[in-house]
Amino acid sequence: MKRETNTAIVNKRKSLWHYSYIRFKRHKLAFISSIYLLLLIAVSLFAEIISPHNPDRQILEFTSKPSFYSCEVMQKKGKGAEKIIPIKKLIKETNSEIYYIDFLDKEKSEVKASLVSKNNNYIFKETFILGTDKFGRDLLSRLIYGARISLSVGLISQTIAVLIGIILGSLSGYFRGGTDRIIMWFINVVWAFPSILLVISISVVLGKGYWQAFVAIGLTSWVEIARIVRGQFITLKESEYVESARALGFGHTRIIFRHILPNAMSPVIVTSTVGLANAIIFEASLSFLGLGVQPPMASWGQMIFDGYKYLITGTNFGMVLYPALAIMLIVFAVNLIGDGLRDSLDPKLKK
Amino acid sequence: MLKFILKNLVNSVLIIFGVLSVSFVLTFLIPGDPAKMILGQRADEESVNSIRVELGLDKPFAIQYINFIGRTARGNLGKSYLTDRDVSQTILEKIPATALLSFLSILLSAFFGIMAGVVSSKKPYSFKDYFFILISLLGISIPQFVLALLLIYIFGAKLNILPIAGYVDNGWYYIVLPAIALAFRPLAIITRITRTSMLDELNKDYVRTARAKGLSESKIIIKHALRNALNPVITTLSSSLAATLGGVFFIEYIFNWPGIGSLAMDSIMKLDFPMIQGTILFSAIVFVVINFFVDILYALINPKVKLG
Repeated sequence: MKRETNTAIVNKRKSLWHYSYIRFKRHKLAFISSIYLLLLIAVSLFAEIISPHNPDRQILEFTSKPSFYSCEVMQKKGKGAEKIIPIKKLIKETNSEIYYIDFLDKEKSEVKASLVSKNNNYIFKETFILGTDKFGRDLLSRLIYGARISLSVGLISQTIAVLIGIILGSLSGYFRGGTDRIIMWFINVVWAFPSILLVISISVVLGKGYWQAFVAIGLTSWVEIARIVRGQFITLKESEYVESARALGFGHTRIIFRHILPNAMSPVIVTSTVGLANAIIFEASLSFLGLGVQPPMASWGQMIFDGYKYLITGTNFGMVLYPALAIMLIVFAVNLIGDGLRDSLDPKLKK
Repeated sequence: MLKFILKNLVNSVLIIFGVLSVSFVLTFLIPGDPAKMILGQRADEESVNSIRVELGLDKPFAIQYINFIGRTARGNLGKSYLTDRDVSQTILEKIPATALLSFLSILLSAFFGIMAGVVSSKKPYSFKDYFFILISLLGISIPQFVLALLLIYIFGAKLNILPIAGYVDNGWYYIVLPAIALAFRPLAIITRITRTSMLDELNKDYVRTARAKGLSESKIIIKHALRNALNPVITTLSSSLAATLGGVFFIEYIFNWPGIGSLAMDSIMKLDFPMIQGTILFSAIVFVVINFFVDILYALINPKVKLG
């Protein structure tokens, strides 16, 4: 009994964010999803260290190999791109030379002096955990590097969207009148514009490339945020604390940014998480059309596009399956986080 | 009421005007010379210039813009740079295909979505409920094009029972895969919304009264709760319809469905500016018109909506 009252007193000092965090933690799926997201962020930050191979290295002998394919290879010395020589069968190894059968069933030899060695070993084993794609590139490494693109498209486009949405939404909801009418008109114009065509034409205007796609997606997805911020401002503007702030003689900027905006943020956070998920889907779709990320850079949408052409005839189904799963998992996770945030940030549900 | 309609009408026209302006600015900014697009890259200077004069491309931005708005307002959308066909004529020809796909998928998603939502809400946190929640989360998470590819792979390539591309003039079953691919996402959203909205309604007093009266559970759900729960569902349905009727972009493109969506995608890839502007205009008009009627409908049904 006594302990309970103690915790009650301690809890009194905790902030609103702390309560939100507790509620969020109770939402198990959302909590697991956020751990997954953090893991993915870590993976994409340290892609260079984690990925087992160079994602762009093509070994044409290894086209569309299945999962856990492994093979013995040698590596030629030299600058520039790694030159890998796969060995189908080793014949013999002398002091200075290696005799082997290559993938075209021809007997060949390499001088050891021209090869890269590790601890006097000239022959290494290369394993491709998820197999390879059409160009013999390691799928796992490409997935890891692709996470970088997907996460950054989500973050960058939503940052743009939130910035534009907050600025336009708050101006419109706070000042009303003519400003509101003009901004609402603009919001409706962008809203009525078919967003896919808008994204595609903006990225055509900016040129093909990944940051262009990020910006294009950001420039189209602010509408919902602006509408929500506007709605919040219209209600909150009439509240007592804003009235008292005005009575104290505070300026518009201070009232907007210090008083109203912090209270309008929770639906913005929820909406932008959903927007993040949609941005990831959007980028994948753009890359699938050949806009967006350009080859050889790895992006999940691009990987699906590459693999799809060989899906029906190909041998490694994973070429399409893994990137598709990766997209679905992250969007799934982000949506669940959005659900969790909605429940935990909504003060109406607070006990 | 008349004032409300008039105000909405003016707003709609202004929005269309805005969309036209944005689409003009965008196509103006797109790199690439339309005259060269028409004649081919190796055309000689003289004919390129004469085409430029003919299309009015030699004039400054402002003049071009005024000309564009003027002729669009008169209903002249120009001619395609690629096929030299009338843009409005081409778009009109493509409407039935898009409308068919759009209506069918909306019907599918409404029917199954509402059913799943009602079943879910009947016994919340039961096995069935979790199953539908999972399905609807999946529907929101899977990108449309991935679902389309999955369907093509399973039903087209592996089982070989359904065609993977083409239009219904070859047989009705050509619509099956595109319709499913298109319906899945709205279905998922409608399931979720129906579920939450039904749960809200089922906890209300009038439902308790109905139960106390001894009405059967199915009557309570269908005649009382569902009726009130449908409001947000209809909003979602109308916005889904507004979005797809204006062109179903990825699905049409992937399934080679000859609608507005694939026309738009094609013309954007080939920089056919008049066609791009035409399809954008069409989409926006559909969107604005549907929203216009939905707003009026709401005002008629719901006395709480302010007519002002």
